[in-house]
Amino acid sequence: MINADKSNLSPAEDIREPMIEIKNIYKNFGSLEVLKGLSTTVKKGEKVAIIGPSGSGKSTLLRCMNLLEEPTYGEVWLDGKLITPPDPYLHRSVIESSRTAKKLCASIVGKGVEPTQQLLDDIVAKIKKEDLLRKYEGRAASREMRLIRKQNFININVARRKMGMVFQNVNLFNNMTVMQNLVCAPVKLKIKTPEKAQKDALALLERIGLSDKKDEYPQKLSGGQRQRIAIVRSLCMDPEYMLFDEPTSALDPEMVGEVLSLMKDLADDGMTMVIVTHEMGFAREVATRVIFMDGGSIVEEGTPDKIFGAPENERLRDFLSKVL
Amino acid sequence: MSINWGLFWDQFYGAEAYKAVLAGLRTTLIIALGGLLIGLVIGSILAIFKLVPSKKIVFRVLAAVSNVYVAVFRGTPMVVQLLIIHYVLFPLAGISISSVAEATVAFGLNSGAYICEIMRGGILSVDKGQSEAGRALGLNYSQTLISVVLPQAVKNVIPTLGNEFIALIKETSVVSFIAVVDVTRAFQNMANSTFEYMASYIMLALVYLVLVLVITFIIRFAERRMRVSDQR
Repeated sequence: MINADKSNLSPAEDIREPMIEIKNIYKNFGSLEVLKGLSTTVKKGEKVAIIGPSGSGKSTLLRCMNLLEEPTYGEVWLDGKLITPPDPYLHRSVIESSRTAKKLCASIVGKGVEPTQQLLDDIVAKIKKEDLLRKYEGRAASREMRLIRKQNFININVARRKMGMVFQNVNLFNNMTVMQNLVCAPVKLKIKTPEKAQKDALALLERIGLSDKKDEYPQKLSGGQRQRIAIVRSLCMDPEYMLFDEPTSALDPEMVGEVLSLMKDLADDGMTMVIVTHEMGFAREVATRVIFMDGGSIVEEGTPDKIFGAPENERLRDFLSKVL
Repeated sequence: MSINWGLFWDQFYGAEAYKAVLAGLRTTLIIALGGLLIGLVIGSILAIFKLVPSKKIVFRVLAAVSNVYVAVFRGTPMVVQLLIIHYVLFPLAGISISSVAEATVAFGLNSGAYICEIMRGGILSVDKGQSEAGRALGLNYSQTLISVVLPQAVKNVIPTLGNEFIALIKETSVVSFIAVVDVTRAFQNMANSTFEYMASYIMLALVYLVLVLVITFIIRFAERRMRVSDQR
């Protein structure tokens, strides 16, 4: 089989293990290509640190995981469920039933002749490689797409309940007190009763030592307190994955420690975490896997020891020499 | 020529013209307040139509409708709209309500166009991170809008909305075109019966001024109350 440009990923049926799976995503902002065909998985229990120079697409990748940014091409799967619209290039059945494939087939072996498996493989590979699919590929292909969607697609709002997100600039709701911030989503989404939500929120606030701030508005708190409360707000949804988008980059230096130590506690509790960070020491200590990105692609990934101790890629070595 | 305050006072108090003035003042306030409320509802809905990110055809049509609405109601004079509603639209539709109600509707429709733009600006002024945080927690677009974005947007637009209300109060003076007796018309009648134009119109201006000052005070108070979540 020809190694295709678009991808040579396993079919959807293989994914049953709970994880976030990124399949060959591209993200363009206008003419700017931010992500260039990138695939990775985050398995339950992993702590993945994403590092790289600014503008390399780290945050965009993270935001694609919970679809705050919609990938231009490619798919994102969460626990075996598709959260982006299906990408035809990732489904062989769609490509095979497309008009383009039929035309190609007819031009090679003639109309009405059943193509051999080898020929089909070649045609699928050619279509992927040369990006031949059009917007509309006939009824059969549309039916395949609908089928895939029907079998796998889940609503993003449901999917997001499993993924907490912590932002660089905190984004606590300014119109609510700390307690209202914490109980808002679980109560509105009917995941918890108001009483249970309050109780859980208070327990979490106590854990981070901020229960006395529950009736304050976010504006009155320090940056570090705000960020820790933002982390707790995500935890109130009982998420299975936590996404951190440079959580300490906008903080005063003396506040960084308290946020990192809360994140470390979370990691020790076994939370699955994806962390975009510039804190190399933290990445090295906490992460089970480090991804180095540059120019919209994953350049190197591996254990922290390998990435920080024995980097292979020239660009990574250069990056590390500047930040360490 | 001098101002004959005595003559004015005789008419105002002696001939009980103040009753007409008070009734006119009430009419003015009813039209302005009613117009503001109708305008708020229409304006908020139109603003949301304009901002929904969905690419569904329904929402595109609704956005187009609100663009046309704003263009029409901002592009024609208030008096003309009032006349058209009174002499064309309502008679054609066979609706017969009091002229005061007609004027209220007319002002509501008109200020809806302005408030739409005010609300749109207010919603856009709320940091994008706020709605992203809401969405990331699993709230859908409308839940995020209602519980996170709109409360902050309304707070941001209160000064501008107050401005709109003040403008509305002063603009209602044109309702005499459809024979509604508002506070302006009441003073006009007084001037006509006494020929004491100067005193009447100076008093009229003072009435508007006091009204606007009182409203300004109320808006400031409301604004302060809504700012409790801010440090400033």
